[in-house]
Amino acid sequence: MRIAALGVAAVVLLGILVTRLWFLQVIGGQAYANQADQNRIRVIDLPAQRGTIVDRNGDVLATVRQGWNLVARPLDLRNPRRQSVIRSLAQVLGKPPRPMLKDLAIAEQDTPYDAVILAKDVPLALRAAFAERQGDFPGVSLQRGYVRTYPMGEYAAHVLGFTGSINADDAERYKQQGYVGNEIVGKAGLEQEYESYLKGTKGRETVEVDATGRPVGGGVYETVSPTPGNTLVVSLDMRVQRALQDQLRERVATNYQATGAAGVALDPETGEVLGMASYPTYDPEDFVRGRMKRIRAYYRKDAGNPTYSRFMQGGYPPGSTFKPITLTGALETPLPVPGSRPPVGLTPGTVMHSGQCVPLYDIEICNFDKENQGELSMPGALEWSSNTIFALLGNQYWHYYDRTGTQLQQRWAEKYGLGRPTGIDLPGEGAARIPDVAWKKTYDYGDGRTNNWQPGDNINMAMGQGDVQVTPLQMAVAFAAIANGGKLVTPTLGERVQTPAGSLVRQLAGAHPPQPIGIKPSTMNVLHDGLKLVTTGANGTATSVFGPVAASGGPVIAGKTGTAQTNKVGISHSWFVGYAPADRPRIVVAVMVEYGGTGATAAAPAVCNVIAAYGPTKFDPGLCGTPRKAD
Amino acid sequence: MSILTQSRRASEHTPVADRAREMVAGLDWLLMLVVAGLSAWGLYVIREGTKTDVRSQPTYYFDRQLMFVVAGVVVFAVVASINPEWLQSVPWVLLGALLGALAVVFAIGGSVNGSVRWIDVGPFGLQPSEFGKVLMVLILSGLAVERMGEMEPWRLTAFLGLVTAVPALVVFMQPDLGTSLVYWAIYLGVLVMILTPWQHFAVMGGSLVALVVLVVGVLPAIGLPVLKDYQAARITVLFNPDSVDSDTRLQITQAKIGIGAGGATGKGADGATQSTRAFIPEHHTDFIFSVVGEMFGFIGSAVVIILFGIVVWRALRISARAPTQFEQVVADAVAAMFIFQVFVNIGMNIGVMPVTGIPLPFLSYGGSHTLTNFAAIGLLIAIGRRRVNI
Repeated sequence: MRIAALGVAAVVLLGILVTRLWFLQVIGGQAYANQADQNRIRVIDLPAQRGTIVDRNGDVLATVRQGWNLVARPLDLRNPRRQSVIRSLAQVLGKPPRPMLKDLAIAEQDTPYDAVILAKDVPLALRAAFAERQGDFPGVSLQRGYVRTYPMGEYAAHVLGFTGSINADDAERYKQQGYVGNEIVGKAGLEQEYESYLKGTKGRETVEVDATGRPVGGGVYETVSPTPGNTLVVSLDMRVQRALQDQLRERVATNYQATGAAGVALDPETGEVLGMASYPTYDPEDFVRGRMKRIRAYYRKDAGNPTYSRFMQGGYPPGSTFKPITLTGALETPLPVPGSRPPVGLTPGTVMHSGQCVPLYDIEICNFDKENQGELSMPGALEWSSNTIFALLGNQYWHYYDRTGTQLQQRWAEKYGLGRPTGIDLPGEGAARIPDVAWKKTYDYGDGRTNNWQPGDNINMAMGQGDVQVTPLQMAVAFAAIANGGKLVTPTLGERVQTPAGSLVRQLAGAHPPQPIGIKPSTMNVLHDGLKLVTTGANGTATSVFGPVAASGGPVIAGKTGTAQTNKVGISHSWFVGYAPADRPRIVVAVMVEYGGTGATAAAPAVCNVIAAYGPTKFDPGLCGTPRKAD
Repeated sequence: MSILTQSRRASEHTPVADRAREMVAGLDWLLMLVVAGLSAWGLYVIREGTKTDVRSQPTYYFDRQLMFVVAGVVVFAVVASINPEWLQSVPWVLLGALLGALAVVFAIGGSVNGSVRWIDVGPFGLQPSEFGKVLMVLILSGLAVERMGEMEPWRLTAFLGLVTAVPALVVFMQPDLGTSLVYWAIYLGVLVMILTPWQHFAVMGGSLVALVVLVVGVLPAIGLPVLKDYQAARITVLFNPDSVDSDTRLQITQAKIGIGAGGATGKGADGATQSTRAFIPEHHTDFIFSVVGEMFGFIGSAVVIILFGIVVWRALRISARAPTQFEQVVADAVAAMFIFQVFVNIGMNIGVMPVTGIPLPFLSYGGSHTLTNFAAIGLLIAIGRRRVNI
C-alpha cells in the first residue's frame, strides 16, 4: 500500500517533467531554436582605415599603420569571470584593470554584443605572450586594427588634433551617430572637425562562435569589406608650418620671461591657413597610444598648458597692432582732428603733433621711451606707433560716443572681425572680447571699480590696451583685410575631400567668399603707407628687422608691432602682424609671444622668418635683421 | 530458517551449475540493463558535449567518466554480492563513519566553486556527502526497523529526523543545499515505508512551508540570512525571475534555450550548439539533461525519464518482494532517493525547480555520485537476489 503511494508519487512527478518538456520542446521548440542561433552568431565589425590628411603640397600629416588591438565583447566576458580575466590580463599588459572594467561595464548596457577595445596597438612581444596563454583569457581576442600616426610629430599638432576612444561622457552622443562601444574617433582639431569624412565605413563579418566569443570551425557566413576613409587635403604648407613652429619655440627659448607663443599664417586673399601653431605643444601620438605618463605631464601646472590652442582660444590685448583699426574708423567717419576749432574732420593728409607726453583727464599718456616725435602724418603716426596721437584719437571716439551714443570704436573692431569667432573649421575656437558699454556694466573686476564706460576705456582701446582681447587668428584676419584692400576673409584649413584614389568628394575651399568691409581706397592707402613705414621708414619700429630684407632685394614686408601691457608690471606680450609682398600680398603672418617683450624684439623676427620660408615670398632668412627694442 | 543454509543445501547436488544459476537467476536484469543504458548514454553525451571544454584534450571528461563508470561497476559487483542484512545491525557505526568523513572534509577539504565538499585523493576528489546518500539509506532504515515496535510513532519520527538533521546540517554548511535535501528525501522515503501516520507528513509539510517562508523571506528581512545569497536567489527565481544575479539567470535561460531548441527530435551531437559551445554552464554535470534535451529532443528526453521511471519501478518492486522489513525499507528509500534526485535535477534544467547542486544519476559527470548510485543499484540487486530463494 505504502509502496503504491510512492509509485504514484513517482509517476506524478515524472509526468510533470514530461508535460513540461512537451511544452518546452514540441510547442516552443522553434522559438528556442531561434534564440540558440542568436547565441552562436556574431557580427564582428571590421574597422575601416581612417583617411589620410595631407597638406597643400601632398606632404602626409596624418596616416595609419596596421596594428593589433585586444578586444572583448561584454556578453562573452561576464562577471565574475570578467573580474579575474581582466585582472590577469592587466598584469600581462602592465596596465591598471579598472579602466578596462569600466569600459566593459558601460558597453554592456548599450552594445553588449559589440567589441570593446581593451588595449590598442599591442606590441609584438605582448601579442606573443597573449597568444601563448589565450586559454587564460576566454572572451578576449586580438583584432586587427589601425593605429593613427602623425609623421610630422609635434608639427601642426594643434591643427590636426588627435584620435582617441569614445569615453563614457560622450558615449550617448556618439551612439546616436552610429558608433558602438569605445570606438576610435577624432577628439580634437581637424580629426574631430572632419570625422565624418575621415572615419570611413566599417565592414562586418558574420561568424559562428562559442560562448566565449571564439570563432569556431572557420564558419564565416558573410563578409562586408570596410570602406577606407577619405583623404582630407588641407591648406597648410608644411614649410611655413615648420618655420612658424621653430620660430615660436626659439622665441620662447630666447626671451626668458616668455611662457608661450602663437602664430598664424594666412593667404590674405582667400583666408586659407598656411600655418598655425601654438607653443608649448605636444605629440599627438602620445594621446593616440595612451602614453599616460606623458599625457599627465602635459597637464601638470608648470607644463604651460600645451594642449591649449593659443592661436584661437587665447585672448590677448593686441597692443599697438590695434592702431590701424583705430585709424581706419577715425578716417572713415571722419572724427574731428583733436584740438581743431571749429572741428575739422581728419583726412589722409592730416598732420598732428606728437610730443613726449599728452595730459588727458587726470593722467599723462607718453610715447615709447618718451620720444618727442614732432609733427607726424597719419602714416607717420603708424610708423612711430605714436601713443600720444592715438590716445588723442581714442579721446575723439569718446566724444563721439558721448555726443551720439554710437560705439564707433567697437563697430570698427567688429568690422575687422575682432571679438568674435572667425568661423575657422576647427572645434573650440574662442571669441575673445571687444569691450563695450553693456559688457562693462556687467563685468566684475573684483576690485570695486565703477562699471560705467569712461573716456579712458576709449583711450586704452585706441592703443589696444585695457580690456581689449583678441586671438592671434583674429588679428591675422584683420590684417588680411588690410592686405587685400578691405575684404574680411573666413580662415579655412580644409581644401577638399577626395577618395583614397584621388577623385573629388567635396570641395571645401571657397565656401566662404571674402566680404568687403567697406573702406575707402584713400583710407586703405594711408594704412598701406603707414605699415610699410613701420618696417622700412627711418623711424619705423620694426625697420631694424625688416629693413635689411627690402634693402637686399627681398620682398617689402609691411606690418605693425605691438607691445601689450600685461598684469605683470614691465613685461609685455610681444606682437607683430605683417604681410608680404606689401604691394601684392601673398601671405599675412601674426605672431604673439606671451611675456615676450616689445613687438620688435620677439615677434617681428619670427614673422620675418616665416615669410622667408613661404614659396611665393621666399628669401634668405639670414636677411632678417637684429631687432632693436621698439614698440 | 536461514537463507544461507538453504542455498548451501541446494548447491550440494550440482555445485557448479547451481552456483551459476544462483548468480544470474535472481538478478534484476531489466534494472541492470536500464542502468547500463543510462550510463552509456551519459558517456556519449559527455564525450560529445565537452569536446572543446579542455584545450587540446577533447576526451578529458569522457576518459574520466569512463573510469568512474568502470569503478562504479566494481563497486556495484561488490555491494550486490554481500548480504544486506549484515548492514542492518551497524547504523551507528555507519553514521560515525559518515560524520567522520564529513569532518575530514572540513579539516582538509578542497574547494570547488566556493563549496568545500572534497577530500583530495590523488588526482581525484572524494565527496563524502555523496556516499552519505547510500549510508543515510542504511542508517535510517536500520534504526527505523530496530525501533519500530519500541517507540511511539511520533517519537520515532522525531528521532529519525534528529539523526538525519545532523549530517544534513553539516552538508548544508559546506555549503551543499542539494545533497542535504537528498538526505531529507531519504528520510521521507523511510517514514513512508515504516507506516508513519499521514498526519506526520501533513505537519512536516506545513512546517516546511513555514520554514521556507522564514528562511527566504522573514529572516533575511530582519538581518539574519541563513541561506547564502545565491541559494536564496535560486529559490526565489521561480517566483521572481529578476531577483537572481545575472549568472544564475543566464544558467537557467541558456539551459532552457538548449532544451527547447532540441525540439521534438533533437539536433544531434553536432547541431547542439548551446551545449557544445559552452553556452550552458555546468553542461556536463548538473545541467547535462539540457544537453540530452538539445541533442535528442523531446523523444530522447522522454526516453530518459521513462528509463528512470523503470529504475524506480524496479526498486519499488524489489521493495515489495524483499524478504525482511529492513530490506523493504532500504529498497524503498533508494527509490525515494532516485525519484527526488531525478525530479529536482531535471526540474531545474527545465525551470520548474530551483537550482540546487544535485547531479542527474548515471548521466552527470562526477566520480563520487557515480560510485554512490552504482552502490545503490548494487544494494537493490543484492536485495532482489535474495527473494527468489525464499
